[in-house]
Amino acid sequence: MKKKTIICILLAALLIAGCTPIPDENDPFAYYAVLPREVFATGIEFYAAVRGGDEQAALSEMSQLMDDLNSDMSLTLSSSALSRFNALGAGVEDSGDYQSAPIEISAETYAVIERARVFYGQTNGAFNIAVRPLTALWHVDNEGIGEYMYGVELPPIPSYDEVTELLVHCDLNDLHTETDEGKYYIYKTDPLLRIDLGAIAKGYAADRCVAIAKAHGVESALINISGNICVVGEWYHPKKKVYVRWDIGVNAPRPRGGFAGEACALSVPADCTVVTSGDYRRYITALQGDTVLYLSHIVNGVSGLPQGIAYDSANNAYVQQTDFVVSAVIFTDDSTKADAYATAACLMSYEQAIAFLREHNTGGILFTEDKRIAFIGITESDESGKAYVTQKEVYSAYRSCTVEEYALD
Amino acid sequence: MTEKRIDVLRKRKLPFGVLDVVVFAAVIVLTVVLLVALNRKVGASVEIAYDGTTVTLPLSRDAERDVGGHLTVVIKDGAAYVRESDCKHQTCVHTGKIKRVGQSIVCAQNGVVITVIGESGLAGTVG
Repeated sequence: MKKKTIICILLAALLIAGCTPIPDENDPFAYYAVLPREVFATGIEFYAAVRGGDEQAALSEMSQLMDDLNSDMSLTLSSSALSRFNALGAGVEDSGDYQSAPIEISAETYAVIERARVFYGQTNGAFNIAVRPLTALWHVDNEGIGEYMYGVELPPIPSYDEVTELLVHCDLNDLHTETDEGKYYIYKTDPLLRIDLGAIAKGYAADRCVAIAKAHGVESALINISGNICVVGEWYHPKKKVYVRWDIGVNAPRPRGGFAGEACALSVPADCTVVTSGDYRRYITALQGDTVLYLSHIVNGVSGLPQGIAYDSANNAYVQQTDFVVSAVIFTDDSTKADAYATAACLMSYEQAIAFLREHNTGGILFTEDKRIAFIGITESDESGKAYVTQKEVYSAYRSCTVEEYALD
Repeated sequence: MTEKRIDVLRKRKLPFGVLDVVVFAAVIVLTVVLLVALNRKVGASVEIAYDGTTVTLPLSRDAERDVGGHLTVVIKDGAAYVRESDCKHQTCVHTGKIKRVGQSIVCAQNGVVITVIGESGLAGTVG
C-alpha cells in the first residue's frame, strides 16, 4: 500500500510540474516581460522586452507614448496635427508672402522638429523632413509600399521639370516653429510645404522608451520598432542565464525584398542603438520605356531624386546608379540621431558617407550596390571594437563582398 | 501437462531469466537513444540557395516563392515543400514536406537546395 501511495504522489507531482510554464529557452526574451503590438497604424511592428524594475508599468507607459506620438505625427490620421498642417495652403498660389495659420503641436513633435533641423544642417540637406511633396510625386509615399503594390499598372515616372519645380517647395526654411506660454506651434511660409517625420520618429520613440524603462528601474530592455533597435543594459541570455552582450542581426540588402536573411550579426554592448535605412524593403518599380527602375522610398531633398537614381540630362532620362549606398546601419547611443544619419547616409556617395560618419564619431556599416561593405568603428576582423561582428561561420552573405574597416578616432 | 511441469512453473517466480532482462533493457536503451537522435528540433526558417544567392523565409508565415522560374516552394503550416518543378526526375517534388532542422530538398537539375535552419540565437534584427 505504501509503495502505491508513493508512486501516486510522484505521478501527481509530475503532472502538476508539467502544468507550470517552463520558459522556452529558444526565445531570446524567455526571462523578460514583452509587449508586441502594431504602432503608427501602418504595420510598423513595435516590440519591447523589459526585465527588472516595474516591468508592467514601463510597458504600459511605452504603449501610451506610441499612441500619443501617433495621434500628433501620423500622416494617415487626418485629425493629427501634422496632417492638418500639411493640408494648410491647399490650392493657394505661392505668391512669396504667404503665411499659414499656426497649428498647435505636442512638446514631443516640437522636439523632433528641432532635432530634424539640426540634422538638416549637419547633412547639408540630405536629411530633410520637408521632402514629402517629392516622395508623393515619385509615388513612394505610402507607408506600406512594396514592389508589387501597384500590380501591373506601374505608376508614371515624373518628368525632370516636375521634379525641379517641386524641389523649390521642399525648403525646410519655410517651416517655422514658435512657442507661447508653454505651448508649441508650427506654421509655413510656402503653401506647398508638407512635412513627414517618419524618417526620425522611430528613433525618437525608441529613445523615449529607453528613458521610460530606466525611470521604472528596468535592468535590461530591448526596444525594437520595425528594425530600429535600442537597448538598456545587457542581454539576459535564456540559455546561459547570465547577462551577456547583445547579438543583433543585420539584414542583407540584396536580393531586394527583405528576405535575404542576415548578412552578419553584431555583438553590441549595453545602452546603445542600432538603426538601419535602406532601399530594399520599401520601394517600387517603375517603367521608363523598356527599362525597369527601382525607386526607393528615400528621396534626396537636394537633387529631388530617389536614392540610387541620377538624371542624365543629355538623354533626358533617369539612370539607375551602380555604386550607391543601398543600406546604412548606424551604431551609436542616440537613436534619434541614428535614425536621421541612416537616412542621410543612404543619400550620400559611399566615400561621403564614410567621411560623414567619421566626422561625427558615429559607428556603422554601409552596403553598396556594387558589393562593397564598410565597417566604421565596428571591427570585422577581431573583437577589439566597441561593437564587432560575431557568428561569422553562420552568415556568409557578405563573403562575396569587398569588406573595408575604418576606425573611429 | 504433467504434475512435474506444473510444479516447476509454480516454483519459478517470473517467466524469464537474467539474460532476458539484459536483452530487454538493451532494447529499451537502444529505442530511447534512437528516438532522441532522430527527433531533431522543428526549424524556424528555410534557406533557399540558388544561383549563388540565398533567400531565407520564416516557417511561421505561409508563403509561396518562385525560384528562378524553375520551381515553386510553398511554406504552409510550418513546413516547406516543392509544389512543382520543371525538372526531369521530380525528386524534389517527391521529397515532400520538410520542417526539422537539417532536413533538405535538393533539385539537382536546377541547382536549388532548400534547407531548414534553426533559431539564429539573436536578440533582434535591424533592417
